[in-house]
Amino acid sequence: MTTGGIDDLCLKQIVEAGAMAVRRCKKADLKRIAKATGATLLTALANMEGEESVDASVIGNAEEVVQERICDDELILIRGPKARTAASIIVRGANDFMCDEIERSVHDALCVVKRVLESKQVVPGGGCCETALSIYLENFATTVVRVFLLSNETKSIFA
Amino acid sequence: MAIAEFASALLSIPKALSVNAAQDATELVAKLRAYHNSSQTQIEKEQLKWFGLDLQAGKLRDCKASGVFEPAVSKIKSLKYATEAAITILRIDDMIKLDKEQKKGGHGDECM
Repeated sequence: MTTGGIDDLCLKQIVEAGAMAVRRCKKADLKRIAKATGATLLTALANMEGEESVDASVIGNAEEVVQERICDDELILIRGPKARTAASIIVRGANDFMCDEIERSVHDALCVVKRVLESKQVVPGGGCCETALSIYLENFATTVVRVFLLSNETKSIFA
Repeated sequence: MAIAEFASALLSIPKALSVNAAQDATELVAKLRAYHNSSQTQIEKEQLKWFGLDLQAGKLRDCKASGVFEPAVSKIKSLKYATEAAITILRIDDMIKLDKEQKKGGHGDECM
């Protein structure tokens, strides 16, 4: 996979070897793929001796790399990366606005999961917490008022 | 008095939730309050404390059993910051009044 193009001459070699090559990838994508598969990004093939070589350790691993057609777009899917588990979510919708909305929702949901995993504490949702607190405070408020009145009375008695 | 007002302000959250889902806010919030009140006063009804809104069905349900949870940090922080904001507003006891700007010419914006 490369961010640049691949010359026809090189392409022929790759096709003859029965390998897959991907050109003009985004650098950000490549960095992520490298992280997930355990590969290393190479800026040049040159080594310390001034010759061209590729060390076996820079090559990453994945269970399957396939090209699939999803809604007019050809996507290259890398399934089962070896180094660490990573996942991409393909968002599909009726129009761009819908997709944007879904993306925001997914982002929010992931943020919630992140928050929970950070603190490892949850409270029941659906307005449950607020109502319970409200009822508790209401009951508490009546006791406070009572104590306050009582102390005033006692003051007037002992004055 | 202040505590009771804070308590009633808290109820605006389930109310807003049910209004946003186009459900009967008054009925749902009243039911929810009744459930939580009995959960806190009667020991045998303690299980009712897990009840929250089920806005798709327009009913109440056990949020613990159905797995509806929120992160505790975000809940605590939102309550804290909402209170802070209210305090900041209440702390302001000054008002600066500006005189109305003199009208010049006839073609000013009438809607102002």
